Amino acid sequence: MSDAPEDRAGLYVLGVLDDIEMAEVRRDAAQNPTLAASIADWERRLAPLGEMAGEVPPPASVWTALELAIGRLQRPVAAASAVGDRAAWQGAARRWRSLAFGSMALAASAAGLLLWRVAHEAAQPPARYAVVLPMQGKIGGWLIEVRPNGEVRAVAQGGVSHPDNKDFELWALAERATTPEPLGVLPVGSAAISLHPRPLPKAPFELLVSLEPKGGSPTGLPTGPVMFAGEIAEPHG
Amino acid sequence: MTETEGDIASEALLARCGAGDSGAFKLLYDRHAPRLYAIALRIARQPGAATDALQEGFLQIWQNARLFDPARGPAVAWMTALVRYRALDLQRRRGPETAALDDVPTEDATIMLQRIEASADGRALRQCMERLEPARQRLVVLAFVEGYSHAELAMRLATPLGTIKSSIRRALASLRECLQG
Repeated sequence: MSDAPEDRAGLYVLGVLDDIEMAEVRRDAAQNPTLAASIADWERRLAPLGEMAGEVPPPASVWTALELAIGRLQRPVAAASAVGDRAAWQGAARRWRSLAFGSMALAASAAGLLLWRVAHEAAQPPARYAVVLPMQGKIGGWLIEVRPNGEVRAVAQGGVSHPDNKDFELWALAERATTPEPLGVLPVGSAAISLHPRPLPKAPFELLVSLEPKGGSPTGLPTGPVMFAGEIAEPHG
Repeated sequence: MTETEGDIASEALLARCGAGDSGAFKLLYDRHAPRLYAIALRIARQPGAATDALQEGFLQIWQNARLFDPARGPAVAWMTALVRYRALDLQRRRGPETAALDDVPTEDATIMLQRIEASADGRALRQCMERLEPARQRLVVLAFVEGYSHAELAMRLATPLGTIKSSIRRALASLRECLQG
């Protein structure tokens, strides 16, 4: 099997690779300009094949959700730096404004059942939600649900992946805090997981996701770069 | 005077999206969403997943618009790629359980090729596709348009995986040579 960038790029753009292989190509392309250029070449060459699918008007809800999302989303900020530079990641997180309802709506179709069920079952104070999204133009993120009992549920959205020897860890950064609190290691698959962190800060607080060694940060503070961010907003009246 | 569809090149609209112009984003969406949704529907195979792919793909288009480089290809190619990858991700994650194994689209690839518009890129690709052996032509169409992976092609066409892989590789090599020539 040949590993020439042209060949890998062609297979990737054609769409015949499995999800693991696709993730490998993306990871390599991020560091290999030749591979990235080959992918762009193949995208240009093969794109007209898409015309064979014809045209279908999308549901109006798609634009509604997008309009909400882009109204709320701040442009991606530069990735915070890694080890030890707390001021940098804190600063980056602070520039990341509330994603509250716009992004929620965006993610809601993927997690619609979850949202619906919680909304109808919760007799007590409502759960709060946030979507944590990439700090840079990458894909994926998580829908985070903070339940009134302090339980945090996380559902991966859209193709998040990390190297085998790493994990994504979720952190809460309170409004005036200088250090974040660890909430737990996040799933990258489609399964939802429940985290049972120590008492959460009072809303609003930032949510950060850093890339850590397998099993989470060994120090209790982020040791790797902050890759995703979002915010738990104050409950609306 | 209000801007209307067709007045402005998609590349220019993307540049304006990169500067935060949501009106340009709406024009881009109106122009390209029906085609991209059709692609997402084919690949994701479920309306809900296709809708997610379209939303997430367009959100990426908005977020990454300033990274778009017109020297690398037209806007439509870049946008098609972003939405297709989202649809492929969603479909791959869900697994191959969504359709019966013998439920392979039987539409004739040669007829489908006639839908490719007469843009310069489209004309060149269509000519090169028409030079492929019919079996390879079909593999390329099933992969790109329907989102079939190597493994799925092998299962659905009851063909050994190795044969599928080498046929795809040869088809891509032929296309590359033809399009460069």
